Amino acid sequence: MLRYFGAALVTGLVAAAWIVVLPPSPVRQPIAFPHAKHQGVACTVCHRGAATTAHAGIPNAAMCAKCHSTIPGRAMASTAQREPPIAWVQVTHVPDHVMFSHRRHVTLAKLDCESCHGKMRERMAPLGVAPVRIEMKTCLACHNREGASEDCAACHR
Amino acid sequence: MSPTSFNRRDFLVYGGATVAGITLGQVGRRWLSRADERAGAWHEQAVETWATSVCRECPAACGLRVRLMDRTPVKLEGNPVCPVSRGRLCAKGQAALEAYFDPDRLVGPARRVGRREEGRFEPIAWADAIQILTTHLGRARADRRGVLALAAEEQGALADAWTQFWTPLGARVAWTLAAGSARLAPRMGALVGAGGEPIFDVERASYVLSFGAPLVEDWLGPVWTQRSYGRFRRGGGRSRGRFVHLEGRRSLTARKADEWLPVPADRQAFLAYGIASVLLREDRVDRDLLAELGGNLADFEREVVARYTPDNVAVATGVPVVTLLRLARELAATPQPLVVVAADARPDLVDAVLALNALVGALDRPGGVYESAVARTAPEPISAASELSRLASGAKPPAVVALRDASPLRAASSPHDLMPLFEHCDFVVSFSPYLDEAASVADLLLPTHTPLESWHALAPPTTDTLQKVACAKPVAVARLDTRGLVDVLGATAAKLGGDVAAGYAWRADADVVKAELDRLWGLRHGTLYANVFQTEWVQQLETGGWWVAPAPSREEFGEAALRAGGWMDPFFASGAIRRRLAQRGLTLVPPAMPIEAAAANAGGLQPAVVPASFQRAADQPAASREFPLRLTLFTPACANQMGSPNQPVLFELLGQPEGSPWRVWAELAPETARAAGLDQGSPVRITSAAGSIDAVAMVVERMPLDTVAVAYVPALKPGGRWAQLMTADVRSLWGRSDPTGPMNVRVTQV
Amino acid sequence: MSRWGLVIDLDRCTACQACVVACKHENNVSFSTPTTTKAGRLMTWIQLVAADAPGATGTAMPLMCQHCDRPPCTDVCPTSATYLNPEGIVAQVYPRCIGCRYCTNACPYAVKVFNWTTPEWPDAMTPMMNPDVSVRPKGVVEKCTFCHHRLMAARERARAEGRDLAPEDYVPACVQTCPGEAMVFGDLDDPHSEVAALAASARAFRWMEELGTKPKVIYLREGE
Repeated sequence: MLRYFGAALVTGLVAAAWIVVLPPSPVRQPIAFPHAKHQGVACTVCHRGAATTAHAGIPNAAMCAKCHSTIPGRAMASTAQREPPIAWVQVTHVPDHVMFSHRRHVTLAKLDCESCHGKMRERMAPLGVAPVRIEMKTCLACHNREGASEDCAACHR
Repeated sequence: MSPTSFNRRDFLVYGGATVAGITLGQVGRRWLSRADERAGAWHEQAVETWATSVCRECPAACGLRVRLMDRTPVKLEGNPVCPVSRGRLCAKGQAALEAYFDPDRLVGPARRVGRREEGRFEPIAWADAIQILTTHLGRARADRRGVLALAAEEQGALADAWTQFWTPLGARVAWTLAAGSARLAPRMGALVGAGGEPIFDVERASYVLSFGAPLVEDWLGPVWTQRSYGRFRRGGGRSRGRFVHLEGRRSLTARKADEWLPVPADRQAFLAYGIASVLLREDRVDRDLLAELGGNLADFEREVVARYTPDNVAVATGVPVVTLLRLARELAATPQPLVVVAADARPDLVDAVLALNALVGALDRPGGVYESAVARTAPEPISAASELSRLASGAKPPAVVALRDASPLRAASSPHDLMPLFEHCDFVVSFSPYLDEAASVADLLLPTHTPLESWHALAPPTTDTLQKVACAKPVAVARLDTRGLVDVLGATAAKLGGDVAAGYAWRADADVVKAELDRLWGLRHGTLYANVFQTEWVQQLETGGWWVAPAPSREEFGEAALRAGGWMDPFFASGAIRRRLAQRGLTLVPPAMPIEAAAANAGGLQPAVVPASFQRAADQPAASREFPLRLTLFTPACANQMGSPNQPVLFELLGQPEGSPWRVWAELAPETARAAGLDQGSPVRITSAAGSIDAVAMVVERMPLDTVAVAYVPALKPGGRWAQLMTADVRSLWGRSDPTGPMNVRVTQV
Repeated sequence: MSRWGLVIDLDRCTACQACVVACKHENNVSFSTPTTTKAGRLMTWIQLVAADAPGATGTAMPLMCQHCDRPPCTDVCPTSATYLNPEGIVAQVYPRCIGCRYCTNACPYAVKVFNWTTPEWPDAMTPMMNPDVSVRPKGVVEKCTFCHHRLMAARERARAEGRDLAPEDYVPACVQTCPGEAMVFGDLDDPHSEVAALAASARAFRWMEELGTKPKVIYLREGE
């Protein structure tokens, strides 16, 4: 009897440890979008809001079609012809009680996209997990280094 | 189990358990990532934009700037270029957002099933709904049994479109007269010759004597009134304006005044003439100026000085002689005195107030009284309250009653018991979008758009020298299955056919607004809504004879006007009154009221310091002993009578700052409260012959002793979720009796 | 560094409560019911209170967080969830707040409110929320922030346009709507600002200043 309790305990502990210790399982993205094949295009062409608004934005199918229907020889990927919006899954995000503005970081602070989003230019597959773990200490390390505001209310809303 | 006894079997069991744990963990991770996919589904972030609209929560027509996140309104602000709001909004205007989002709004057209008391409806299609309306209107016209169309008072193109629909049907079109919509033009005309509304320049006055004008509340529109009051009190560089107020009750205005005289409305004219009498008797008027203006001053002076002796006035009003003398002397001593009056005051009081303004030289000067350049052309509107009173008193009922909104049934001017009111009318149709009084009596519900979903073209009331038309297009998509009012009327007119269809060209609200914009363009003067500097500049240009169209083309004008929120013409020729008076002279209206009789008659006309009728309650007939207090109603500025009845934030404002939100309150004099064993904040029951309501007591210094003043907050049992929480409906005190008559009540502790 | 302050002229204030509604909608403050208000749990960041301030003739005054320079509430906070920020705003960091309510009790003005229940809006009303302000969960103390999110947005806009923050760029929602023009907002440390001039006027007083809280909401008393 004791053995079975022990076995159940081991199963539970291992399962919990497996979930907690290992990085989260990647999410599935709707399109196998290769960033690496789009290197010639600046980030802000597709992520239109990155330099001008709080939200960077993710392109919809119409945005893809702007190039893919005009550049000869490059047939538009069949998935992109589906009705917008594309069901992208957001992998890099901040909690609801944090106010993050792309314009403030990209345009005003001249921060590189890579610092939070990793080397997206080199990726052939879309992201399943966040490339950089965004935690408050990540933010604060940079704020501290760059002399940006470390006032709680500057980010927490 | 000891370590030594870890046998092969144990190894297999624990090894198996570990594998099972890993499998389970892997499934868990997968499940979590699927949950992430659902939660992290990327959606287009809303884009912030701003659009222009017009506030329709009261007739003032303040311009709005609406903050939109992807076509969804999230916040309302005043339109900075609107001359009415100048970027500011009152509490009701701010709360208008909740009308759009009201979760208990009517979702679409519906038809009543069963009797009115049952309150059951079934949804129908718009086409069917319009067919039903057409049938009833056609029948009523054939039978000549009459149609009554009721709506909140407003002026402008869309209001005209409402009237134009009903006129060929032979309908009686009546309006809920707004307390803040001045109707003083006829009395102004009597004083200075044919003319427009008087314009009170409160902002630049140095001393304001108010006869019942709610100067810190919503007198002629809340935002304009409060801005004027604020600047009058603390204007740039000038000393603080002094403010004396007369009112029967210690209202918010009375509390803010430097001096409050508790004189009820029906005795205020005595005091106005009394002050005139002192001014003339002590020769504190500018004789040269008055001689220049000419007219019947000598006759007026003889009459007033002889009859309105300070002693008589003191007895008639309860204001001591010394106070009367002091008020007159203060008025004469201050550089820019102004006397103002409630917009809905009795004609004799308006006459007295305008005469007083003439005597203190306030005509045509800064901080005084100007005359609006726009003479009112439309006939006096028929009052919805009197129409409802006629109905209640058993006059021949119309076959069809049309309610554009619930205002006639919500206004404090006619607190009727709803259900019996229309029991002899065949058919009641409501165009209101809300679950309100109109919905509870109507047989057919045709919900129209709420203000943020609507087109607008209306003329704000005359409060300053500007001539204005506010206009805007819808800022938000229709949330529910509602339609524009003119869309519905147009479709109905087309169905009715004949002269109705021929006489009604409109098919949509947008047509009416565009036609109005075309008319304004055709005037080729004025300017779009603009800031004060631009307004001043155009006025200078126009005074100099430079009259130009505000936009290069008709289309551009229309677009720009809708973007700016309206059109206005700042041209104003000051001195119009004096020029006219130079020809015909002043016609001061002498007092018609027999003050001698009032002074001699002891009945209640004792000085207020002597508690009169309350102490003598024992001498009165039995009915009065049972209900010893006179009930007066007042409308708190935060009680919405035109828009949605279901705005939670407005209910929270009730009873503040005394800290009794969500409650109806009753104001009592300290002596009266003590006699009934009541304290500040005690729960009380107010009982009349017909019914009773619960309220909270508020003790107010210097209230008349025989009076209880109750906040009029229309409550509605079959209303929205928040409206239902207000359980005390003052209307139930009247039952079937005439709401215009006096009402006596008893106040007891609960 | 600015030191934000608010001047309220009680001579101009008409107690119309437009500020109360504007604040409620701007900051996603939840609604009450007769039951919750009876229990003294009305959620407001600003409200009209009957005050017998020196010079106030028994009329009402709008009372919100006074943004004290020496705030009693921050001293008692065990988690540093509430603190005085460098620009003089007494901030509340909701994820840090453990709901002990020490600060609500320490505040002499009683302007910090506790979420006794999960704030709820009917489904139809959720799109009305201001996306710039979070919705506070149950068990958290919330308060007036001088519409700090408006400051962040205004500063970002000004910097993106390559200019300095102008006084009219940043006004809290209550100040923006005030129909009597009774409220003036600005930088108390800027000697040329209107608030600094008004705060130095002879009519200026601070509510309960005898407690040494040094409020940055300054009232101008009624009367001459």
